[in-house]
Amino acid sequence: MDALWTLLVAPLLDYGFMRHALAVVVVVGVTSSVLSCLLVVRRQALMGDAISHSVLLGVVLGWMLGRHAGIFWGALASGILSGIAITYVERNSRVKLDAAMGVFFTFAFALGLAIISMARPTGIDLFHVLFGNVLAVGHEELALTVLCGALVLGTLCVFYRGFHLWSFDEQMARAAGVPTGLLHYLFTALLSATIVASLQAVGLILVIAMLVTPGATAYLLTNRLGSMMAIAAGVGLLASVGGLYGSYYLDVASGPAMVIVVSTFFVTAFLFAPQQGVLARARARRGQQRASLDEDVLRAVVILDWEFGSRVDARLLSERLATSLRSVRGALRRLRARGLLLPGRERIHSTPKGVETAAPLVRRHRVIESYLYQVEGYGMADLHAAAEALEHDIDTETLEYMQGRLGDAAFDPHGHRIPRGDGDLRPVSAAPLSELEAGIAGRISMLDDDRSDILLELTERGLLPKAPLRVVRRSQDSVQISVGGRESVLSPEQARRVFVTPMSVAPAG
Amino acid sequence: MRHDEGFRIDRLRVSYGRRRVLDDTSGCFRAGRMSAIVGPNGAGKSTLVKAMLGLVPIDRGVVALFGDPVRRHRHRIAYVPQRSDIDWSYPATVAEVVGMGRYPLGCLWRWTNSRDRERVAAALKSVSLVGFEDRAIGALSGGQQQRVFLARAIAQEAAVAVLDEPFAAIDAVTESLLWRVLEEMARAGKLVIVVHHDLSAVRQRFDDVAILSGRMIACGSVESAFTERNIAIAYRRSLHEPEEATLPRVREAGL
Repeated sequence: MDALWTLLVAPLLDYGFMRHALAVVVVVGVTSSVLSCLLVVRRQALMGDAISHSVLLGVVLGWMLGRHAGIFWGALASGILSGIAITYVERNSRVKLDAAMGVFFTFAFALGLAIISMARPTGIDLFHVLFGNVLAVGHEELALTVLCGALVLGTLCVFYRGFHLWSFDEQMARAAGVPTGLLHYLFTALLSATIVASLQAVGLILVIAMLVTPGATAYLLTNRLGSMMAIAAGVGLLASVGGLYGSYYLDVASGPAMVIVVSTFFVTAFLFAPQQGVLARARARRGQQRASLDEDVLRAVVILDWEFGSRVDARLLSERLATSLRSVRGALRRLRARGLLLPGRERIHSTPKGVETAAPLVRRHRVIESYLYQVEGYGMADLHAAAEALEHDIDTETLEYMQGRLGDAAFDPHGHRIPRGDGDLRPVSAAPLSELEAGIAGRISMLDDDRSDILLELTERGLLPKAPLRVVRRSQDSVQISVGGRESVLSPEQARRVFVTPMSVAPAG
Repeated sequence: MRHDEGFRIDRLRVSYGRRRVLDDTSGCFRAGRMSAIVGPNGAGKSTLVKAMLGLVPIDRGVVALFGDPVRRHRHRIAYVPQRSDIDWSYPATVAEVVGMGRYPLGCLWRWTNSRDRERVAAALKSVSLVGFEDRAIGALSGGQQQRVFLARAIAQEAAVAVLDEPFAAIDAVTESLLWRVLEEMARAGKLVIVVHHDLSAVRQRFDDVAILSGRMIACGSVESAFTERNIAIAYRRSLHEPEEATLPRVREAGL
């Protein structure tokens, strides 16, 4: 505690100039940070840049006309006038705002420099005007800064609703009679007053950072303008106080010290912000990819193992989902840990909890497929891929709408049963064609849809759900069948994907 | 001038720089009716709306609302711009944006009161966005964003609602909800104007239509104005060419 006291409070007690400096940087830090939020959300962050450069001209002319008192008014007037001029150029030509600002502020800045180099006014230290000299703040300047800050923040509070609407949807505001033109010029005036107030603390060039960075930092941390302003004010406050002490102890110029501190805040938020930060985004992306792979794997296991009663292993899943064996094994591990799959290396089985979890996923997939087939007119072979693309980011509302359009369809186009509520998923009494003996007849119950090319070959030969079928002959590497009077020969690859419900009476043949 | 006329436009001319976008445009939009503004791309549909609302300067002509200059009734106008005109990464929540509909009512420095909160809640309910209050607007789907804007217009309790292409790129649920809410507004006596690009919905959904193509081709009730001839003129299709080749969209529209 004592150490902190010596570090932070002692300089204030010992030196009057530190007290003044602290007051000035606090006011400037907070005011410019709050304004920076409006600049950032309006995507006009460089408006601060433009006006502050133009202020140099006003400082010079003001000093020549009225010495010290003139500097303030000259600076304020030039800030406001340049804001007006930039807006005028933008509205009355095809030049866009950025170019209008670029043209205007460089001109005003150059004019200011030219006059200084010509007239060499003794009362203006160019270096201090540009980069600040906070340790030389006198009573009068302090009072002026505090007054400016209070005026700016007070005006913002009073017209908060107006600025809020103006910065979000200017057209709606204008249509409804909100005086957006007035607000625009008022904002320019506030910006100019803030820049003038920060002349001493950070100078014309470095105030630009205080008019962008705190707002940009807060933008990464919140979803409300109000809290954005509060966060920005906090960031600005910490940065200016931190910068001041940094400059005191490390003997760095105060303006640059503040800018360095505030930029550090930005970098920290950029990397570590809970939602918008680079790291959080990467983590969220990875989590999302994993979650959707887990869903796909679980669904495939439940369909194959529970519903179709066939043998499932990691290799089969990797093939079906076109995913590396390594990622599939990772997903299996995670699903086992969640108690959705039975432990065990070789054949994979789902647990009752796994079936329950998968049922809504299966339903979603089949509702989407049926919707695309029946309502949107997709081809049978394209359904699976289209549904895969849609299913991970469709919302419940849209799903219910699709279900509504389907009426009470109980089967998807491939013949799979659409589960009704959650957990309503049952084994089907059907066997893959590859396991049926010659002579057995039945109806096709469903077609596996994992390979669209094979699905297409099957449907082209008339193998569709509900079609009657008879096994004519079978050998090691082929199954000869008759469907609707047509005979075809299927490869084991194809036969494995046709599921048949045998009829109770098997005719001889 | 009769007051139930709502908007009356007389010989309006609007230019952007040297390019004349609208010329000699006259017509009216009545309260209690669903009005569509249709026309090909670049016909000046959005420009007409913006000129009517005073968002772009007009070269000449007169716009009146309820028999007065438009500015007298500004606070009674709810405008919903095209969704692409808005920066959706703006830090705002659903409830905040809907609440902005209350801002133009009364003076700008008053605080949100209980009536504002009631209206916002009711508006969210009527667009089925209850439970979305604290979501960031950038995280919503396109259809949900459009519903937020509709809720803002409802919360504004305006007499005039003007929507620019509200049906562009939205889901089917939002589309049917949008039709329902707009029809309710019209039935409640409000003036509803929708800039629309899909001719097939005009006959089914709207009472009045304005067909634009750089000027007003026709304006009035759908029965009298939405004729094959007027559409052909607006879309620059010859009437003598075979119908199949030239009027596919018109056929879709059921003409």
